Amino acid sequence: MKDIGFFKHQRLIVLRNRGRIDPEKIEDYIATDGYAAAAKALGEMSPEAIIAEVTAAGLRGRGGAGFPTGLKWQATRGAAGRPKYVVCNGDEGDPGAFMDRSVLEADPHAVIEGMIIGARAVGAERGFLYIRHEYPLALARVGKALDQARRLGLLGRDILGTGFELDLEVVRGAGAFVSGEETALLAAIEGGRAYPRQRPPYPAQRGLWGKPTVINNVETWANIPPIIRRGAAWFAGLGTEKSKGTKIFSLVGKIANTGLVEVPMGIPLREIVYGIGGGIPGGREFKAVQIGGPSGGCIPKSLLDLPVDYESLKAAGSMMGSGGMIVMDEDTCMVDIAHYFLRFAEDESCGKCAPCRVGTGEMARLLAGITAGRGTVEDLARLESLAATTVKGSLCGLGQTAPNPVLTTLRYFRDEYEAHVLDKRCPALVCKALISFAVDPERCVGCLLCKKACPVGAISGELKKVHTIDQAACTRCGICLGVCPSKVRAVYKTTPAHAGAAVSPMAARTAPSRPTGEGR
Amino acid sequence: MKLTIDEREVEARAGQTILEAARSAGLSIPSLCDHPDLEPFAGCRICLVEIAGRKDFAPACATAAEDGIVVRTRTPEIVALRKSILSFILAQHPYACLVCPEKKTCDDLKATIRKTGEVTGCVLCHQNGACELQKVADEIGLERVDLPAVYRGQEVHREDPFFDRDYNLCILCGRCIRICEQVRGAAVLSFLHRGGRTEVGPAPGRTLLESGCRFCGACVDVCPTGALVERAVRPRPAATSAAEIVCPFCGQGCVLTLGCRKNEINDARPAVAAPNRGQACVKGRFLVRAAVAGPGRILGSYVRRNGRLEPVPFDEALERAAAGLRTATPERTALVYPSQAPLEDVYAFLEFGREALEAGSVAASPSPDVDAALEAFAARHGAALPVERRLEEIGRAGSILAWNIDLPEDHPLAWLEVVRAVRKGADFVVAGTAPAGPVGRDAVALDIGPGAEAAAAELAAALSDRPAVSKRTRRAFDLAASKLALRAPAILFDAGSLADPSGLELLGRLWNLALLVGGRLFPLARGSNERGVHALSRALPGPGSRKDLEAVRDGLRAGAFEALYLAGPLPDLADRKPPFLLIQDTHWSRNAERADVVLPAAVFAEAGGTWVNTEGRVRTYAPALAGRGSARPDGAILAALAERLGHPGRLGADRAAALREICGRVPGLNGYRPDMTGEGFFLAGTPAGAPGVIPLAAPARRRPGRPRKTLAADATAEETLRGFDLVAGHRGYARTRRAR
Repeated sequence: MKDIGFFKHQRLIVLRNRGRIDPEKIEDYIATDGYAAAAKALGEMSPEAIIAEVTAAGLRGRGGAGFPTGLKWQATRGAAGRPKYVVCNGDEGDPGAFMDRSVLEADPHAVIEGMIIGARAVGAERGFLYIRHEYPLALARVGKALDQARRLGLLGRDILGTGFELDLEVVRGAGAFVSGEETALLAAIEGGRAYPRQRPPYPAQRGLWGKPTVINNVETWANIPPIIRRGAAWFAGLGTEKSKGTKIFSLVGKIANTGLVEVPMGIPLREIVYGIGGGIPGGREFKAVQIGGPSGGCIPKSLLDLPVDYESLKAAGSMMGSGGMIVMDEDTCMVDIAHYFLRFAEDESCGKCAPCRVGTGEMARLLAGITAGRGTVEDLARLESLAATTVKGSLCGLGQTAPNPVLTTLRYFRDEYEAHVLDKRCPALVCKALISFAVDPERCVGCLLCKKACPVGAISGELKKVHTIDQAACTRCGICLGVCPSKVRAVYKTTPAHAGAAVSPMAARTAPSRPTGEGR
Repeated sequence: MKLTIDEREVEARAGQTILEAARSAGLSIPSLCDHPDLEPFAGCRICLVEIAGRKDFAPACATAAEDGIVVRTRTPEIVALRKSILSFILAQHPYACLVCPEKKTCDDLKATIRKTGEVTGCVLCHQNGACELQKVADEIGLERVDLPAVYRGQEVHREDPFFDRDYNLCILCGRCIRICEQVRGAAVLSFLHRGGRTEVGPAPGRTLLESGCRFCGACVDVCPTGALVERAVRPRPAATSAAEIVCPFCGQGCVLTLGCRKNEINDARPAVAAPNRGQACVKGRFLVRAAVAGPGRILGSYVRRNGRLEPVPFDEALERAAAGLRTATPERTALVYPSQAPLEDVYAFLEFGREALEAGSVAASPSPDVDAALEAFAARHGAALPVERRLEEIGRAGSILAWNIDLPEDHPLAWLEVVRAVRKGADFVVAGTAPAGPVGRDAVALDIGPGAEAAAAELAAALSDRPAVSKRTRRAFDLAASKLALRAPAILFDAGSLADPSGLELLGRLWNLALLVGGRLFPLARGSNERGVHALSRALPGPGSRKDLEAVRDGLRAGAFEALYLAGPLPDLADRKPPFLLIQDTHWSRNAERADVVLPAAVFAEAGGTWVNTEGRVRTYAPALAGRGSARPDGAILAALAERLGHPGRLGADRAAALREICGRVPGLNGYRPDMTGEGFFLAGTPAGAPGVIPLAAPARRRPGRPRKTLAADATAEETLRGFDLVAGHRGYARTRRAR
């Protein structure tokens, strides 16, 4: 493993048991020091000592906002009201992100053990693991793990003979992205519509059914047992001054090695992309990396040496988020990417507050216009103003961060926007309304393949003679490009000759392409 | 505590929000989704303010006021953000008129019926001038909206009775949804879909009728826009006067505000006053206009000539009435007066029956029933039961036991208190059928089967750990017992709960239960003014002249009467009509069509007067309207008739004098004055004794069979208001009954 680039830069804490134990066997987990931390916390440590340990470790929430976990627990412990609850947020909704899924599927007991320790620290007797129903294997394995833990007396009454009582149950999510927002998730557990609530009061004061509740993300919970077992000092030794430990990223997109990577906080972005990810395939040029899921931001090439920690990412206009990392190459249009993420946000906005409901939709509409060649330079100012209202006015994190893809692409790739609105040109040759397909007469061998494949009959030409594409009839479906033999490669994408002038009516009518896959 | 809002020091109570603190100090912060009766929602984001030291703006409606915080509501940044957010909201609402400089001209010149049937601007909207969105837009001062207008293009829902739903105007503030759930305990409405496609409604594809809506109209009243509007209310010209009345439809006695134009009712809305505090039910909210101005009113006087009723002048009808009454023997004359009438009129009936008519039988219809049951109980056991009447006490109870009683339907305000209590954590146990909706669904329901008394005995056994009578149902009773024990339940019942041959034994058992768990009995009166009429009829002399309604009906069946003066509702007399039938009523009925003489009575809003609700709350209101046609108050008719019968003078038409006399003669009303302010005046009840545990034999096993004579009076009484038949009188109301 040490010889493989993908693995040698990683530092596995949360994913330590991935693929090494059978997640359906509690004995396997116990054999790798499993539940030793719970035994230590319940048997030897006072709740205050547990919280002090977690605080000293400097662990911050891995769900995105990075709130210090120890402080959250302290607040819950100190809040009035009984019973108290512990909740695990396993509603991982970011496209292309599957860190939590991997932890829940490969090491469910680590999460359960973390929750037992947390429940002891805050004085909770009941807890819930909210897991999205798109993760059937995670649901099955966590359910099985809970049964096993109950059987061994690790859950239920009098855990490990310490008199401490806790039971956990699984709640199956119904699939809305917004359910990952903590207050919406609590509303969903209560049986209501997953609508976020205004904070404060924070869940630590008034959470589930109005009672003090600790809600942490899967990865946060899984960090707890190693911290308790190996001590705060060990954990705090990893990472940067303000961001301790490791973070799992889901490395996807235009990159040679895709997959989950667990790296120490503060590692330069370049090392993830090139050291672990192996760079961009096909000799293409790196363009940007989108970090933090759909509400994260796009970080350009100039910031490749940025250390990956909470503060640096925020300063760059992005965020840690849950750890999605989508690498983009030069064939990616940043306007199109912003459009894709805003469409996602518009679709997943819960509709409760006006800034998010209307703001995301309006931004998506403007971006659609720009990618379709109908944008004006005023649209850019309008986007910025809509984004400002949405950020400042929205009720929850979803709306407050939804404009990030627009704001960061406007900040780092303004020239691309300007090319779209001023020159009616898509530099990455992605936006269909702003490109054309052409046949290179030097290379065309006159094989008729593209002519036969063209669904609208826009290609003319005879056998062994150079073909031509009638631009007025062409719908820019790109089939000709696909069928042109790779040895020939005569068909190519280009900026239309009339770029800068009005776009052909046909092109204007063509809907902009909607990205179909995640992590283009 | 003290906080600073816009450089002003403001006093706030613990638990208040910044918005509440600002408003009680007279400062205005615009808001849309907030409503004083509802929990904070923080969805519209219009009330965002800046709090020094906090990085994000906070919604004033959902942020607690804290000591020492410094709040700014009008910084340039906040003002700009507020404008921008409002323009977001308006982008999905037809806003053209809101930002149009010509609007005033349009209002003045184009106020006409709508041409399109679609509301595409304020001047076409029913709510124009009364719209909160307009007010907020004015206050914020938006000059233009930079976003393209989105008209959702949805069909306006007109399929349900009483009101239309035009979701093209909806701003998704969620007030309707929240009041339905949080206050009414019905939860018929919800948000549907998500993001830009979010909308409001009942379950998709269903009408409100099919969704269990009770049409209380609370959603219509809280809607800040024209999305929910009462149908057939003519918005313009606007109502020119407002008058408060006490709703006559049931015993709760809600205060309603009638918007009137000339002598017509525009609409009836619940007043924000005790006891109903802005709430009403379908009857008060939507049937008042039909009861006053709908078809079927008796508008003139009629006498029977040649077998047909013919209109005649009032005096002529009066003469015929007097003649008819004179010819009958007093002992064989019966007077049935309405209990759904003000005390002044009831008093006139009672005095008229005793002095002028010397009638052999006088009865109220519908007859006061819950007080009659309590009286019968006191007579049997020698001590009156201590009972609690105040509705707000229900809301404070730690648990609630509702005994075979349809709360949302018959006692809407008591139901709202149950909802309030349950939302605060009270346990709710229902004997009989639980009400629809989330509150009823979470209740512990006890199957009482055919023997209600046996069920009460079973519950007592469960509470005192005695062996089960029936093993089959015992688990539910044990659960109920665990909810009620030590939590001082409010035990709610009405005469219907006791409508059983062993009703008095059941009452005894409920009392024993109350003793066992430290609970209180809450008898609820179903009929409007029922308690006032009961107190009044008990206070007046004339032993032997008053029998109950049942006796009158027995007499009618036996053909014992020569003349019947009928002013209250009775089932169709058909061939039992006595030789002379005098009808004095508000609406035509089968009996009125059989009458020899018909006299037109004014309805509640035309008569004014004094009403007592189930709590004993006494209120007097002035007539809101002049009598339609030649209708006049019962008291005035009786005074004129008494004069013809040779008893002039004392029975004058002076209602104020009549009320003074009543207050002097009814002990419970001593000291009441109509102009009282503050807490209000409550009818004093009979002093309660201290009955201990009532010894009762084991309840008899009863097979379900033909019901025998019970304590409850005519069960159909609630669906009539004197001669006004609610079901026949309003097609929409009839549809709600059929949907049940």
